[in-house]
Amino acid sequence: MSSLTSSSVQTRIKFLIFLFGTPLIILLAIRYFYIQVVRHDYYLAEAQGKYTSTGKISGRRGEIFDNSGNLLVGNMPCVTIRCAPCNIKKNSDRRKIIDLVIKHFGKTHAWCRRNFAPQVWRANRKTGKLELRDNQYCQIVRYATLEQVDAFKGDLLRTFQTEKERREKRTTAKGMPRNVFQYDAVTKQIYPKGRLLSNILGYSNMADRDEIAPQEGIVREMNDEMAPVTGKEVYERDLAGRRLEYGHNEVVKQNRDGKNVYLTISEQIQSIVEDELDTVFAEWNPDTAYAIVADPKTGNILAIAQRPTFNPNDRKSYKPGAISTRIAMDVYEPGSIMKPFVVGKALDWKEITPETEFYCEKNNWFFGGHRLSDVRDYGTLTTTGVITKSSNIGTGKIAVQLGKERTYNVYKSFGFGTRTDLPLPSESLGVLRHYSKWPLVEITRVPIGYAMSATLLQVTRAYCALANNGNMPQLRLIDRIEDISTGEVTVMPYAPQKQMFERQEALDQLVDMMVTVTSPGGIATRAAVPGYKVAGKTGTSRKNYGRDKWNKEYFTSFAGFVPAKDPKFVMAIMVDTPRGSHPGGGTVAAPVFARSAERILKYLNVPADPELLPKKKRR
Amino acid sequence: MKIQSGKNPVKRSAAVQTVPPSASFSKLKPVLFVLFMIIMVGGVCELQVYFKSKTSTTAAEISRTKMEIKRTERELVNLRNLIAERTSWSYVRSQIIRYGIKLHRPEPGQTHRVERLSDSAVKLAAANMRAKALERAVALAASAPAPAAETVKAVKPVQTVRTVQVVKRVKPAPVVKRRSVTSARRRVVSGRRDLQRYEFR
Repeated sequence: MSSLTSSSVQTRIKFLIFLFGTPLIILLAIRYFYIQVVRHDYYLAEAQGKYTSTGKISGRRGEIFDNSGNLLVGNMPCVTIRCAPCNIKKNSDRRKIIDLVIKHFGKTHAWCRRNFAPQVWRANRKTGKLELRDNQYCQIVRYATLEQVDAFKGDLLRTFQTEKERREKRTTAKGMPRNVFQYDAVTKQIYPKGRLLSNILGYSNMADRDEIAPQEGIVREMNDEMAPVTGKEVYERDLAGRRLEYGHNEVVKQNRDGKNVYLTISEQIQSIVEDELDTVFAEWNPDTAYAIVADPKTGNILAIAQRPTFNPNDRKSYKPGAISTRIAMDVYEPGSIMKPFVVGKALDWKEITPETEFYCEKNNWFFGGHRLSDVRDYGTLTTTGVITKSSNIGTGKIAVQLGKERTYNVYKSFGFGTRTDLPLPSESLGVLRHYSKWPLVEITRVPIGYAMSATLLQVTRAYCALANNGNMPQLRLIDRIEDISTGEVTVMPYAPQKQMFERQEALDQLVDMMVTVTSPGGIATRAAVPGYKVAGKTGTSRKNYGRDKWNKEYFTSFAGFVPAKDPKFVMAIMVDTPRGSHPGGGTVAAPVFARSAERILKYLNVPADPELLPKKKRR
Repeated sequence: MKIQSGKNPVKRSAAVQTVPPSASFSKLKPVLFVLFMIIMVGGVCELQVYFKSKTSTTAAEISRTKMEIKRTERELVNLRNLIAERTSWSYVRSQIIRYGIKLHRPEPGQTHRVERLSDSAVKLAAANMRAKALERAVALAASAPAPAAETVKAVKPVQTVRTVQVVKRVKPAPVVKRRSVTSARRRVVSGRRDLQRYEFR
């Protein structure tokens, strides 16, 4: 009987377990399946949200170099130091920190008292009432250098360390207030060469945090290439927020570094030109002075400078007339610099020869109801003499012989009235009116550089054609762009050159005439460089402030190339309103050319012609 | 062989039950099994904890090293910027002015072309130079005047000077005895009225 009972009890127990247990297990299994399979993605996302973070991967902004790889605009690593003054519990600690901030970052006592107060009055956003709240944020310095930060941290540690900790050379201090300072790594744009090429490079303002907002110059024009692309990544972190290296990391958006830009500029030639511009600025006290040096064979600009200028690293030097790229924006009446073009084309078309004589009316020629005069009373001059002596009347007569249309076409074909398409903001077109709108007298004025205006860039481009066997190159300022992440280098293309002369003989004759300008007997002997033949032309144009209101202020300029045969560079200089006695192209701009050319020729290692050296200096 | 059954049957007494020797072990089997499982699981967990802590330590080292690399990279960039600044013409010129380094403007004739001679021409030129130098030396020797006769002067024997160190005897400084300061009493010391000492006792 008892065995039956025990077996029946056992059976009942088993049955009950089966009856209640099985559904329970089934329910659990269903639940398990629901959580692990059906809602897997949801719970995974929830869990990941607890232990993953999204972070930005910032790229590096591109830099600007000269042709040889010398840094012109770079990125400087800096540190932004922020502070939570409410976490400084003791007033003695607060005083020590304030002393260190004043010592290292030049802040004033008043500033520190205001910003390091433990509590500040803030308006409630809802009620608008002023309330006393914990001062949780204060930016001490935005761009501190690494040396400054190291010195500050060292002093901070020494201030709060005990004697024992100092002896043991600990890197921490127990007495240091916690959670007070935050050091963020940032980058700042730096111009290590100071004022060099500053007007062309431009400057930038700092927008939010690390964001750079370029304002002028190449940094603005090439911002699309130089600006980095910020990426995004998701990574696993621990409770303290530290990244887990072995955890799951996923790059959601790839970052990209900015590209480096290499200019055609040579830092050494640029320094020489800027040096000489400083000299002429000090000597003649002009309003502005510009200079451009270009390679006539390729159109590469080797140097481009203007005064007044500024130092992009020093905000106090940002004056209104000094920060813009005026060399591309300003136009001026070039004056006698324009004469070689009409004379050259007249030779090319066989209208004249170098020996053709022109009667220069003894400095008194009336044409189109207006008087045209020369510097001196010239009688009869040959074509060569017209260039050597820079006769306005002789040039006017040559232009009259060519006619309006052909005279206009000469200057139009040499690029006047059209931009050079350099990556400079706000480049001016210049003014060259269509010949149909010319009054009768204008045909004698345009060839001598009046009744038209041009930028110095246009003048340089035109002279490159004279120096390059008649082939006019396109001016280049950007040489190549380098992508650091891929190593790819994109060389900016050379535009096809335009042949300006039909006969090489005519160009050679013109160049010989231009050499006589700087030779003894010419009007620009101060542009001569011992040992070399210089082909050039001066320009002196009087400023006109209205109808018949001629001022005694001048634009003085000189453009030329050296050596005359196989020129290494073309240089154009313009000085606006030099103040002194007898200001003219030959006295103001020509010496700048001579001094600069001498130094540049030595730098380029161009040997002098021993026959042309003064006898004393021959070796 | 006994085939008969029923003879000598095995008698079992209910009172005495002998436990076979393997029975206690069989009771301990599940306990041992559970213990073994606990040890195994514990061991695996311990291993996992050990490797996890190792990994986290290594991860911390990696992030510290990465930070160090980043810091070094930033310092390198800083140094590069410093080099660019120091090689600028404005800085070089300031140093030239500061140290008064005398420079001269470039002269047009300071560079000139030199003809490259062949080996035989070099030998000939060297031989010519030697011959010229020899001629000059001979000419110099021939044209130089005869040296005057030398007079021999009597030379005094050198006297050795012996230095003797003289030590000046200095009288020892008088020992000043400090008197006790307990009471005030005027006291004249041995007839010298200018010297008066006040004693405090």
